[in-house]
Amino acid sequence: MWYESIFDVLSGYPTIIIIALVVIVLSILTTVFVYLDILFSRLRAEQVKDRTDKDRKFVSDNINNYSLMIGGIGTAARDGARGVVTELRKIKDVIGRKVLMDQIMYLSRNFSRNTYNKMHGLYRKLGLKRTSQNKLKDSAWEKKAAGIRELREMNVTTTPQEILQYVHSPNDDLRIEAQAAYIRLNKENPFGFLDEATEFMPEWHQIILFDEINRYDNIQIPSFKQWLSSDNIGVVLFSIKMIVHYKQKDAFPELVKLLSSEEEKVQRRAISALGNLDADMAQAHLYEYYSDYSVHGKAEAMIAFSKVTQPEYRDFLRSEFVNGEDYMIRKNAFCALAKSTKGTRDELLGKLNNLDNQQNRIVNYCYVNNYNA
Amino acid sequence: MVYSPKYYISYVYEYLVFYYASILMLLYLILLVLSVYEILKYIKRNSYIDKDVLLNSPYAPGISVIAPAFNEGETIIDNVRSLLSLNYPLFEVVIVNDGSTDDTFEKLVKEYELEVIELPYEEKIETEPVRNIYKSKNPLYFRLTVVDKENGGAKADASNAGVNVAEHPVVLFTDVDCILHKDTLLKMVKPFIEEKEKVIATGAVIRLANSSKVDRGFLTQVKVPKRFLPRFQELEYIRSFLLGRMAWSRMNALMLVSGALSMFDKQTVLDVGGYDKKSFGEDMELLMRMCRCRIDKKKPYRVRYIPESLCWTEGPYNLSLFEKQRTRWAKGLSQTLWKHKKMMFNPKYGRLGMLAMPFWLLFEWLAPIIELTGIIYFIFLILFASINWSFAIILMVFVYTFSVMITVTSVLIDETVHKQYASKAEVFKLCATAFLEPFIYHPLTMLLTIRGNYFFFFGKKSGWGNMFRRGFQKSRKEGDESYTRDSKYANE
Repeated sequence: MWYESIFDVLSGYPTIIIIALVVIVLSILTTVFVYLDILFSRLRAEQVKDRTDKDRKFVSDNINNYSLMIGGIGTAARDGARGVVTELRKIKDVIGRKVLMDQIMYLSRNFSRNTYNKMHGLYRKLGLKRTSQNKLKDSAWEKKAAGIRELREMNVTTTPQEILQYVHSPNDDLRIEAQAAYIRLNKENPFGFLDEATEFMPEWHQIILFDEINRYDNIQIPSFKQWLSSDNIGVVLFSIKMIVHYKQKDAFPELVKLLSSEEEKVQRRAISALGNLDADMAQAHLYEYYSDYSVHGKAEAMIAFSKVTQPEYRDFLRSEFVNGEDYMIRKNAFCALAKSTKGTRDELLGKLNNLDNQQNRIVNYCYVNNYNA
Repeated sequence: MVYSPKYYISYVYEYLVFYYASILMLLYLILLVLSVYEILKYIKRNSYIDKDVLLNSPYAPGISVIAPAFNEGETIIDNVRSLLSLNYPLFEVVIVNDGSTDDTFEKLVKEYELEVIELPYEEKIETEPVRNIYKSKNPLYFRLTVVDKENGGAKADASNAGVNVAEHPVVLFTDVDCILHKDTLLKMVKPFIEEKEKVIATGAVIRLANSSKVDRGFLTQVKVPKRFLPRFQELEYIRSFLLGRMAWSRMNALMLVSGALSMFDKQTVLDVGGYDKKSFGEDMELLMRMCRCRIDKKKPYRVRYIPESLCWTEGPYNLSLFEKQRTRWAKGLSQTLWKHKKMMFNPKYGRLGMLAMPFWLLFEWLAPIIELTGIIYFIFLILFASINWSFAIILMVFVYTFSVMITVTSVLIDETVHKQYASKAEVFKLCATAFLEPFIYHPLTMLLTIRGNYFFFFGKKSGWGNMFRRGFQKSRKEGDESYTRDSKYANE
C-alpha cells in the first residue's frame, strides 16, 4: 500500500527529521484550514450583516407602526396593529428572530413605561416568550443567562422555578441574572436570596442588582438592616448601599456596630453611610471609634464630618488637619471644618499659625471650594 | 567506531538546538490552547452584558486617565478631545506636560481655557518639580487636569506625577497620542469589580494605527499598515497579545501590561513607589514589583488581560526608530529579569517565579542568542564541513511552517474576537505578510534584541529616540505613508 512505502522511506531517517516532517505537514494543513476558516467566516459575516441590516430595517419600521397603532382608537388602528403582528410572525429564521428580540429588549429598557407595555404585548403575541423559555433548557450557561434576562425584562412570572433554581448557582454570571430576576419575580420577599447567599458578591454583582431595583418600581423594599450581620461581606456591603439609597435611618444602631468591623471595606462603607444618613447624630459615634479606623477609614470619617450641620468637634478636626497621619486625612479634616463651620479663614484656623506650604494650599483650596460649593 | 570530539560536540549541539526549538514550539501550542480557552470564556461572559448598566451606575469606580505629553504639539488638541470623549460615568483626564519645548502646553492652555488652580498636591512619589496644576474655566472640560512639570528625562517620571495628582482609586496610563476605543474604560475596569481576588492591573490589545483613517482624534476605519515594517509589527502585536498574554492572564502569571494602555489599582502603584525612572522597560518592571509586593505581603491578586483591541498607536515607521525601540525593549527585559532575579525559580512566587519568569528567560531572552549561534554554526558547516542539505532544508521548513501557522492562527483568533478590518482583502494582506516575516522581520528583531542585551551588559547607552509624530493627518510628501482625513466626524 502507498502508506507502507512512506513508512519504509521514513524508517531510514533520524527521529528528529521524522518529527520535523510530521510538524511540517500538520502546520501546512493547519495554515490552509485557518485561511479557509477566515475566508468562510468573513463570507458568513458579510451575509449575516446584510441579512441583519435588512431585517433590522424591516423590524424597526414595523415596530414603529405597531407602537403608533396599538391602543389607537378605531378599527383601522386595531387592524393595522394586527397586520404588523402578522408580518412580524413571518420571521422564522434565527437571525431575524434575534434582531426582533434585540429590538424589543432595547426599546423596553430604554424608553417610557408606555413603550415598555407595548413591547411587552408584542413580545407575547410573537411567541418570543417560548423562545426565551427554550433558552433556559440550553446546555450553554450564557444562553440560559440570556433567557433569564429576557424573561425578567418582560416580567414573565409564569415560570419562576425554572429561573429561581439558579439563584445559588456556582456559575457567577448565571447566579447574578437569576438573583436579579428573583427581585422582580418574588413579590412577597424579593431579597430572600440574601438570607442564603454564601457565594462571593462582588461590586459588579451589586451594580446589576441595584440597576434592577432602580428600573422596576413595584419592588417591595425590605429593611436591609436584617442583613448587616450576615457572614457574607458582599451581602453586608450591598445592604449598606441600599440602606443609604432608601434612607433607612432605623438601621443607624446596626451601622454603628459595624464601625468596629475587622473588615476594612465594611468599616469604611459604614462610616460613609452614617455620614450620609444623619451626620449630626453620627459624629459622636464616629469620634468614639476613630482610633480603631484604618488610614482610609479615617479619611472617610473626615468626609462624613463635612456633612455635619451642628459641628461639635472643631478642635478635633483642627488637630487632625495638623497631625493626621496621612495627607488625605489632613486635607479632608480641614475641608470638613470649612464645610461644616462656615467662618472666616481666621475663625476656621483658630489658634493655628505658622502653616507650611502644603497646609496653606489645603486651607486655600478647602476654604475657596467649600464656599463656592 | 570511535568518533572525534568535534563530532560529539556537533551531535550534542544539533540535538540540543532541535529539542530547544521543539520545546519552544510545544510551549507556544500550550499558550495557544490556553489563550483560546480564555478568549472564548471572555466572549461568552460578555455576549449578553449590557454595558450601559455600568455607564448609568452611581457605583462605578472612578478612573483617572493619565497621559504624559512631551512635544506633542502636532496632535495634542485632538488627542485630548478624544480622551475627554470616553464613555464612562466618573473619570478625569490628567495630562502631564513633561517640560515640552514646543507649543504643546500653549496650545492646551488656549484650546481648553486653562487656569492655574491651588490644588493641594502631595508628592507621594518623588518626581521632578511640578510648576503648576491647571483646570479649565469652561465647565465643558471639567474632567481635564493639566500638570505642568519640569522634564524628568523619562515617561516614568511624568506618569508618577500624574499618579500623585490622580483623585480616583483606579488609574489608566496611556500615551497621549494613542487612540482609545470609546468603551475602553468600561471594558478595562470590569475585572476590577467582578473578580473574587483583588485585581491590581488590566491590559488590552494594542494595535497599530499606521494607515488607518482618523478624524480629529477618532478612529474611523482600521486598515492594515501599508508599509512592511509597521505591518510586521502589527502581526507581532496580534500574536503577542492574543496568543501570549491571554494565556499568561489565564494562569495569572502576567509579567507585562503595556505602558501604552494599562489600568492599575492606584494604591498598589503608590505602595511600590510608582514607575522606576531608570528602567528601560518601566511598564514590565512596575508590574513585577507590584506582583512581588503582593506576594511578599501574602495578599492574593490578579492581573487580567482583555482580548479586545482598545488602543491604536503609531508604530515606528522607519528602521532608525524601530532599532531604538527594540534595543530599549531588550535592555528593559534584561534589566527587569536581573533586578528581580530572586523571584526566578523561587516557589514562593508561584507561577510567576516558576513558570513565567523562566519562560521569559529561556525562551524570550535566550532564544535570539541560540538562534544566532545556530546561524553561525550553519554557516560554519557550509564553509568547512559537509552538510546534509535535504535534512537542513527539512529543518528550516519545519521552523518556517510552524512560525507561519502560529501567526495566521493568531490572526484567526483576532478575527473571532472582532473583525477589525473592513474587508477580507485587508485580512489576507496581513496573513500573506506572515510568509515573509521569518525571512525579513524576524532576523531584524533577533539582531536588535542581541544588540540590546549587549548594550545592557556592557553599559552602552541608547535613547528613546525622537519619534517625530506625523500625526494622523494627510501626508504632504508624495509616496509617504498616507493617513486619510475624513470630513465626517464619526466615532467607531
